[in-house]
Amino acid sequence: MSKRPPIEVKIVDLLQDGKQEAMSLIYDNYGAVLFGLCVRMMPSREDAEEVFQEAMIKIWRYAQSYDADKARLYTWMMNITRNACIDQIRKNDRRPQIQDVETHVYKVDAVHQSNLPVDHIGLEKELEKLRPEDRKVLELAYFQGFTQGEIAKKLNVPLGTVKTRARKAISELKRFLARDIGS
Amino acid sequence: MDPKKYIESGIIEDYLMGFVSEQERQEVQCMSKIYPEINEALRQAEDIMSTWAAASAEEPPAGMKEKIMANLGEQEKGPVAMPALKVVASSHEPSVKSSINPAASPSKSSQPIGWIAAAAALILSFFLAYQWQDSLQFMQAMEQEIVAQDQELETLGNQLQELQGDKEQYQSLWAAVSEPGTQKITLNTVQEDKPATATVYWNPEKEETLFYRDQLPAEAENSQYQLWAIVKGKPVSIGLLALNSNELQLQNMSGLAEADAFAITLEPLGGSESPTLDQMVVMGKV
Repeated sequence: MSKRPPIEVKIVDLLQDGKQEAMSLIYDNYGAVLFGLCVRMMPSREDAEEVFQEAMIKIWRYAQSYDADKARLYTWMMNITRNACIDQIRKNDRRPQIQDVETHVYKVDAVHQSNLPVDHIGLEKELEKLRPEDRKVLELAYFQGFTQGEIAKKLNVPLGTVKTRARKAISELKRFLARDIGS
Repeated sequence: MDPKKYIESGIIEDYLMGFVSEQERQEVQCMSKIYPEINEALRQAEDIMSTWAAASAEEPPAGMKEKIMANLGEQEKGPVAMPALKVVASSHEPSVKSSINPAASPSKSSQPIGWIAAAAALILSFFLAYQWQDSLQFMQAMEQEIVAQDQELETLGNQLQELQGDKEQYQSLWAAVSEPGTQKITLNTVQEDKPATATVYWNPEKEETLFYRDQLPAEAENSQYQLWAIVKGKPVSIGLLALNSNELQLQNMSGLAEADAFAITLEPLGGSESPTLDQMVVMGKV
């Protein structure tokens, strides 16, 4: 399992004691990543702001069910946020325009928190090595909640190819990131 | 199962992308609980995806923190347990659901969702209780049905055994009757106004006697028919007839190598040492 940064341990303790200070620490340490995820997934900035607030409330409300043995706090919060976005997207039946990988701007400069799992400057460089067609499948599935069938149709490729590309992209990411996130 | 092969199959990546069926989704969750290696691979893949997602970090607008913290205040005592948060998000089924454990939720009237959840839980528990009761009744009915079936099977088994016994008896009787040395002696009524007949099959060589009741009046209360052989003018008892039975019966009579005639008398229950002659019903000469 990945190493747990001390701040994560502290936040978990506070959350489980029902102390609001936990949310303040989450905001300061992970707010930019969670908000960035909402911006990336939602069709408009307004939607992103709304879902971000909703996700933060959910994190607070469901904190007692968090199990440190099952997932890292960071991953757990990302999942809650991602699901809040997908719920909202499906509810409104609106999806953002698919950004071309080539033109997608990674706002790494905004990331100055030291507790994130990786060095983002390095990550950006690594991500550029992913094949654009593989990365696109990952984007569509993971960030926009498209199903395998929808992606196949959208990209006009066979169903099997969608799976192959996703597997390949994850495997590449794993290779790039393994040394950073530790194991 | 080889966990390594399972991981290498790519199912974990498919699972993370939501490219799996409901059955496969449950399978991955189940496997990750059983095999630590699969669990580790799943967590690692999740972390990788989250890390990737972190690349698009962006500062929230000014004032957002205050807004969120103010909203938390409305939540008062804070965290409630979410009974079963899925470990991994699937695009098919968001992990955050509103199924809140009412026992753990803050009991504030300012939280309608708490009341709704409590009401939902109450309705659910009634529903489950009803289902349980229903299943219980069904199980009881099934149990009774099984017991009844068992009893019927046992009865049928007993009947079959009886029939087998009968069959063996008839085979043996038939064999005796059709023996070359067997003589058939018909016993006729001795009382003209009372019709009665019986048949005796006698094999002097084997000293076996069979008799068949044919048509004899029903026995009076506490009385029983007794079969006699007349040997050199003297009656010799060769047995009692079963009460009210028309079955062909075999009796092995020792020493009955010769006989002049056979007769049946009605005697007190259990028979007599010597025949009551005025109660003779049928007689037949060899």
